[in-house]
Formats: sequence, C-alpha cells, structure tokens
Amino acid sequence: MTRTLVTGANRGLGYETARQLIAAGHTVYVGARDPDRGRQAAEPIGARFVEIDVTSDASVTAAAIAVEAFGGLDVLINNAGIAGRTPEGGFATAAEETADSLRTSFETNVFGVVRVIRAFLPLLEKSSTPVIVNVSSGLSLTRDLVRGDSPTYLYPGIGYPASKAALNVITVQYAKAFPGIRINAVGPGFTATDLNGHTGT
Amino acid sequence: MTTTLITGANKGLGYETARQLIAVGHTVYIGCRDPKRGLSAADQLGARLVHLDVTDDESVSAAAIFIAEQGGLDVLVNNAGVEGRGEHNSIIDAASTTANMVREVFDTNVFGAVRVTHAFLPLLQRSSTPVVVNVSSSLGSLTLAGSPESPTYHYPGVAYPASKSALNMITVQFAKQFPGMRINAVEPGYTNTDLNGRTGTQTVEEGARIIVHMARTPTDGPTGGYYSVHGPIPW
Repeated sequence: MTRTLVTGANRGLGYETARQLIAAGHTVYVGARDPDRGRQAAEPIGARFVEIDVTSDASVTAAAIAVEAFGGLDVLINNAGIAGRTPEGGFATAAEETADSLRTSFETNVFGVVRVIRAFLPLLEKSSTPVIVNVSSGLSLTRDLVRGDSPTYLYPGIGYPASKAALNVITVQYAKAFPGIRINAVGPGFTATDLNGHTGT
Repeated sequence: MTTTLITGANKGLGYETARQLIAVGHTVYIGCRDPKRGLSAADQLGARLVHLDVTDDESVSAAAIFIAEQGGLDVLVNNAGVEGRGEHNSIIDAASTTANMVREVFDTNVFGAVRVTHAFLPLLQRSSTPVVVNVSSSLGSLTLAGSPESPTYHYPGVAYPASKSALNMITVQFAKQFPGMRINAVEPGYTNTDLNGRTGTQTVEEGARIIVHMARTPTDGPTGGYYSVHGPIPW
C-alpha cells in the first residue's frame, strides 16, 4: 500500500489530489497548518491529518516523526504554496515588489519545500517506491515568460514566477542527487482555487 | 557622462567591472559593506565609495539618497552575490542543504538584488540611458541543469543555481515592465574569485567582459535577455 503526504491539503488542489489518490488506493496524510481545518478536510475523505507548517523547522520535524510513527512514507507531494497576491487579490508588480514581500512567497514555495524534503528524505529512502512531486506552475518557465505569444507572458507579478523557477531548479538538482527517487515538478494549469481568488479557468 | 553603481565591488568581478568601466569613462560608485575594504578599493580604482549592504533596507535606502544627492544614476550592476559553500570550500549537496542555507543565499542573490533595484528605480527612471545588469550564472539555467552534455549539469549544489534561476525570472519581469530600460542577466563564466574559493578557471578580466558589455548596452540594445560573452544562453 502506498503512503502519501500532501502538504497544504485542506483545500484546493491539495485536497483534490488527496481525494483522487485515496480513490486510487493510497493511504493519504492530509498536511495542513490548522488542526481544525485539516481534520475537517481529512475525515470525510478517509485521510489522516498531519499538522505541518512548511515554514517552521519544528513543525516539519514533528510531522516527519508523526508520519514515521504511522508507518512511513512512499510519496511526498509538496503542494503548499502561495501566490503572493495583494490583499485585494491583485499583483505586486515589479515596481511595487519589495524584498520583504518577495521573501514571503519564497518562505513557503521554495524554502518550505527544501525543509520538507530534507525532513522526509530518511523516510522516503526506506520506501521501495519513493516519489516526490513538487507542485510548480506554467508561470515558472522563464523561456515562456519572455515569449510574446505565450499566455504567461502578460503575468505582471515577480514573486510567484521567480519562486517557481527556483523550485524547478531545486527539483532537477534533487532528482540528479537521488536517482533512486522519482522527483518531478508539475504544472497543474490555471485552476479555480483560493490561491488565485478563484479566477482560474 | 555615465554614472554607474556596482554592488559588491571591493573585490572579484565587481572590482574588475569597476576598473574596466572607469577605463571607458564611467563615473563609478562601488557599493561595499565594509568601509575599510571599500575605501582602499575605491582609492586604487579612482572610484567613489558608497556604503551598501544589499541585505539591509536602511543601508540600501541611504545609498540611494546619497547617490541621488550626488547627481543620480544611469547604470546599476547587481553584482553582489554569494554561493554558500561549506567547510573546506565544499559545494553543499542536495542531501546536506537546509532551508536556512537556501534562505541565506537568496537573501543576497535574490532579495538583495530586488531591494537595490527597487530603491534605485526612481533614479534610473530619471536617466536618459537607464541600464540594469543582473550578474547571474549559467548555473541558473533550468535547461542546462537538465542537459547532461552541459558542464553545469554536474554541479551538485541547490541554493546557488535556484537563486540565479529566480534572478533570471526577476530580470525578465522587470524588463517587460520597464521597456525604457535595458535590463539583462549575464553569465560571467567560471571565474577565479573568492566566491568559489579561487577554483574558477578564467581570469576576472575575462569574467567582467560580459558585465561591462551589457552595462554599456545602447538604448536600442537588447533587454530581458540572458547572455554570456558568447551570446544568448537558454533559460
């Protein structure tokens, strides 16, 4: 039986991924920061809740201990992510973006992923079928964001594309370092979730 | 007359870029964290010194006010960068990389570059020939990181390539938003500097060439690109 952790899984793509993997027979840990929301999301779909704040060393370490106690891990889905939009749902443009606003996106989308991978690597290395999926974005591809005919060309923000570009390189570097683990980045498409204020199509 | 600021310019590629740009007539400010080292570098170069720690909001704001008072800025070279090596100059591999190590590299290479660009944008917008050069690396290329025939494929570190990949994206997004400026990322090549513990195989004179070239980009030159001295690099 395949045991899978999905971070940021109490809603949106993480929740739906958990639901579909349970339907396919996985044992799924729903990772969420908020215990109430996490449990409410996990119970109806038959998942287990694991408290995890990817921006906190202590929380991620505790989550790894909890998952190990449950029996280990085969698949890690680094789904928790933030778009770094303004409170009104708009974009911080290049002129408006500050170092601090940028760092907020990277704490979850980049440093959070590195933290979670590092904490769960010992568990994944014990699995016979270890897999890591990093949820990236079509907005991560610099080669498309320079191309006038790409739909992503017009995206005005800085933090989200830059954080996902970094995540792609991180994915490739880990994949080369751990050839026994399947490690990939994925682009789910522009999806109607809270991340984009339900503007996804 | 062209006025240019180079961050992290008391040594290495920044220092050599300052030297070459002064030789072609630029008025150069070298931005340095350490006033003593900065002063001796500025004296040797015939450059102006500005105290600048790219990781510190107050320091960067103060530098922007100072340079504005002195008459403004035409060219910004975001050169300050760190690789984040481990003991005995070892490259920190994926298994050993922690979130905090990655953040430390990003603090200078990514957030630092954005902090400086943000602070100096008003000055650059008053220039008739505004230019930004972001000193990146071929290690920031996602394409090359996944191409076994590329020498960069075998680089085992995580933080530095990821930071330069982010910087490349930032370069592109700024270039689109400010079409009146020439904003490019450059790859100097593997250069013999303190950044890599002097393991680089080319001289600083060679490494600075593309930085100097893009700092001198004319107003009808390229923008939003990623170049080495040999031409464009795949993203």
